[in-house]
Amino acid sequence: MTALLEIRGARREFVTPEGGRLAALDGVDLDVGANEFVTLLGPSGCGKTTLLRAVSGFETLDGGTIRLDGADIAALPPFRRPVNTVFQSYALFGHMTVARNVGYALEVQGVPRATYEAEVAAALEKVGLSGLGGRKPSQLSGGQRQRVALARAIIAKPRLLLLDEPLSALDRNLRQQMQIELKALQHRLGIAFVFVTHDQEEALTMSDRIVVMRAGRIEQIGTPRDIYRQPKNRFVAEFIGETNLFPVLVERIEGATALARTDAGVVLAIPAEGRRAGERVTAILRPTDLALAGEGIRGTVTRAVYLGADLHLFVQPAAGGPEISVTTRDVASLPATGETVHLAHDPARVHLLAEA
Amino acid sequence: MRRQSVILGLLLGPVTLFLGVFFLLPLLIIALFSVLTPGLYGGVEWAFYHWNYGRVFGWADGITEIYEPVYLSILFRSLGFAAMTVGICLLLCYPVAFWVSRLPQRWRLVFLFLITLPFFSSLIVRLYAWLLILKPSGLLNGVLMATGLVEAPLEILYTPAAVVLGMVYVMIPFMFLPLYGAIDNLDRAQVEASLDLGATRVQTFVKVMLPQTLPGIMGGAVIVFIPSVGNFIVPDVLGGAKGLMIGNLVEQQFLSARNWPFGAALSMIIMSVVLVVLLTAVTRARKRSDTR
Amino acid sequence: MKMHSACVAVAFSLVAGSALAEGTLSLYNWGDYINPEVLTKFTEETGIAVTLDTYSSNEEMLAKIQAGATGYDIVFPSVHMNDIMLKLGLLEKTGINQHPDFKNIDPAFLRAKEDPESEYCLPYAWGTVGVFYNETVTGPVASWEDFFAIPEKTGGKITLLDDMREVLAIGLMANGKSVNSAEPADVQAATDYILSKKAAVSAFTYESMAMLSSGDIAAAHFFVGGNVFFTETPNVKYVIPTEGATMYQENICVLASAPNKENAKKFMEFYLKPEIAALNVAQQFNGTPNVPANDLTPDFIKSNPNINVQGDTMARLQIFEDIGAALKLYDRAWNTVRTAQ
Repeated sequence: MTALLEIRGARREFVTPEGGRLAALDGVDLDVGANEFVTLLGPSGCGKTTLLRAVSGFETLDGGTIRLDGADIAALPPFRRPVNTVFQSYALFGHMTVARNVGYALEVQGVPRATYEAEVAAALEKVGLSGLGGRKPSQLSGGQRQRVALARAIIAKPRLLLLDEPLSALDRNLRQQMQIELKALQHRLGIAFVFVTHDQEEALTMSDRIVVMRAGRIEQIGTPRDIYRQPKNRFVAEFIGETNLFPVLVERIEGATALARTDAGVVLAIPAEGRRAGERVTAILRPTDLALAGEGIRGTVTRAVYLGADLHLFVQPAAGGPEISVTTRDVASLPATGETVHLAHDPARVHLLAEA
Repeated sequence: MRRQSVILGLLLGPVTLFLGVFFLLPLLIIALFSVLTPGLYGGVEWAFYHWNYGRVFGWADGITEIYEPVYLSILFRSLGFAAMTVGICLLLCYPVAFWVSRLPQRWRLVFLFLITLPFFSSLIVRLYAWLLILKPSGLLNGVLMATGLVEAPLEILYTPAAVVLGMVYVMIPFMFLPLYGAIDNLDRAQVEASLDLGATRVQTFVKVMLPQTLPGIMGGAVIVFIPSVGNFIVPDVLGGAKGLMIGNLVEQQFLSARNWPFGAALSMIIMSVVLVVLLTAVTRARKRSDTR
Repeated sequence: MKMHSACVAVAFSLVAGSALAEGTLSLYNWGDYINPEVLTKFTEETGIAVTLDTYSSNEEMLAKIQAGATGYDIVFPSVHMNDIMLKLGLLEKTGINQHPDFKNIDPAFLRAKEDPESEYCLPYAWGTVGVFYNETVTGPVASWEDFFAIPEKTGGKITLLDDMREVLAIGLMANGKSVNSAEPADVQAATDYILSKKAAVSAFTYESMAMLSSGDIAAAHFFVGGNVFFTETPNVKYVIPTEGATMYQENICVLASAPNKENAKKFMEFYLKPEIAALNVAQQFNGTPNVPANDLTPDFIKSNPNINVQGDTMARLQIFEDIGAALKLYDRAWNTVRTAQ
């Protein structure tokens, strides 16, 4: 089965104000399936928005191809692409009513009046805005505008919906609610979503697959779980969630477990498979993979943050080196700042990167 | 309560005084003069006299005052010229304003400065410069003939074309600035949204850009239309004073016919007509942008 | 004389500085209607600083004074306007006729009906309004008929003054009528005459002299003062047409509202001197009512019969008078002339 969207070798360069060249896209390959929710994730300037705009037609590629359903769309103007976008600022037409905004794609196609009105009503219904069609966008709340933008973008039944950081202007609660609704909507509509964000939590919540980008390149593509548990490199590991990184030297193998030591002297148990003594690797431990115990890495609590269900600790290892971050549910023994603790972990939860 | 109204009065006082002195009072004087009897040697005699309007609209005694349809036809002619000036200014300024709004900041400032440059010199001087350019032995014909584009000098000076050219030249900055303001504020994202939703470039222009820049268009049109209706210097200098504009008529009443009340009545008529035209245009435009 | 560039206030500041200042004098005159050297000389002689403001028609000046413009001491109305201003009580009695030098003034120029003895105003200058033509293009021109025939005959362009009474006067004179006729039939006939010629006229304008010297037009209706531009070009000639022409005369008058009446009177007395009047003529190409001054003017002016007008030519000249309410006839006629296609 071929993918719905197929991007190969996409390149795009910008000239910087100083006259230099900056590669916004530096050879990007990406496939998106017909009913897939794919998130482009990365820090600002990583090229994710450029990639999105190349698909919608507002950026021209310097090289590479974009195929939709097998047809090359790179030469088509935006209005000929069966792709719609939800813009970051919503870009609602301020001089039109909500209903006319929603129906715009049909209006410009010259859809008959009766169909038009039925479709607009249905689209408004779908996003829970029935009855607000007569208002102007300026009379709506931020969340409502978001829904109008969404309704407007799906009314023409695009094969692919592009969303450019659509939730960034909403407050936290509303954002979480919209994340769930968006995912549900995508299921219901059965169309592919390509969602751009710099918010890793958002990416983890909604995506079927996450594409982590940096400096115009794709660092890793995978399911949220893959990305979180098996980051391919330090950048991905650090960008997705909180992470403890330990550059270590493998000292000896003991059956399924190997012992490794940081330069400062912190000793970790890691999976032995494929390891050999004297090798340098980077061990990754998520804060949730560490727990308070009677023995393990000894250190002093420098800061304790109480998060309700969880307790977040920063522990300075006695051996030296950077602080270790720990998230635990073990609230029975609430350690105080300055208290000495021991941190234990399951060696199987340690993820290793070949790079030192 | 009392104290508050005193303070309010003090606060609003200067504004009221300003509007009163510079706007209302002159208007009232014109309105009053327009219904007084013309003095034999200019000025007014303090007796009510309605024939200043009658001469224009069709009632007159036929002896001292004669109704002549020529006044209304001059008014309509002037309105036509003004409308044409607005239209041409708009057609010229819209694409240029668009282009300028896309220039880098530095060049935009340079361009805006250039646009306002004519204001630094007198209108009369600039019109005489056009006279020198347009006359048969002038710069334009010199260039055209030197390059072999024309055999004989083009007769532009003292034609209606020269009048329109002059009016457009004089009024272009007044159209450009509000238009540029509106176009510069245009939400690019909305333009992209329209294209993204399948609207062609033409549809996008008509349905999104035009309505969004409508305040600028209306603003520019109003600012250009009003002085264009009353302009008499351009037709005099570049048109050879052969076609009478309503502004000429007013000037003539004060400066050669010594009939102040008739001049005042004509001014009142111009003001009312302009007001009606503008209100109609603005309400129509607003209504149209609301409906599909 | 009417210039849109009016309101250009020319200040003749005193070279000698404020130490010598003997007060000020404010003139309100037609544009380009006095030799600046006259003003410089006056300041040198009296220490009075002179400012000059200009207007482009009698009515403009009257309207400004009536509307309450203050600060002007001296105005230069045409004779008929002189009468009107006297009737309206706008002028100050100066007794200039009592001055010993007043004997220099030719009594024929005491034309103001309201001031037959010159108790108020002093005759300033006079001139004619005729036709300038570029003989190389047009051939000889003697009459208004010749003038209006130029475009069809030679392809050359002609212009008339942008002035209601001057233009209609041509029609009146062509029909042998008085330029001051208050008869509706006369004015109608004059209108018809001008209308029949309108197609031949390129423009109604005061800017014709520059256009004539650049060759853009072949002939123009203009004031005799235009000769100043053509002293070096013998092919451009000035003629007083056979059907007749108008003449104008302006008087020096002191306003009743003048702030510097004494200085104004000093200026009038200064202008009575033949050498001063002659100095003005040499630059203005006008006639002067000052008899001895005529002998002091340059030869090329003295010897030109179209400038220094004599007997039979003089008989063809008419001067504008105040026509009172009949002005309305002319206003309507002028609208008809200007709106006709």
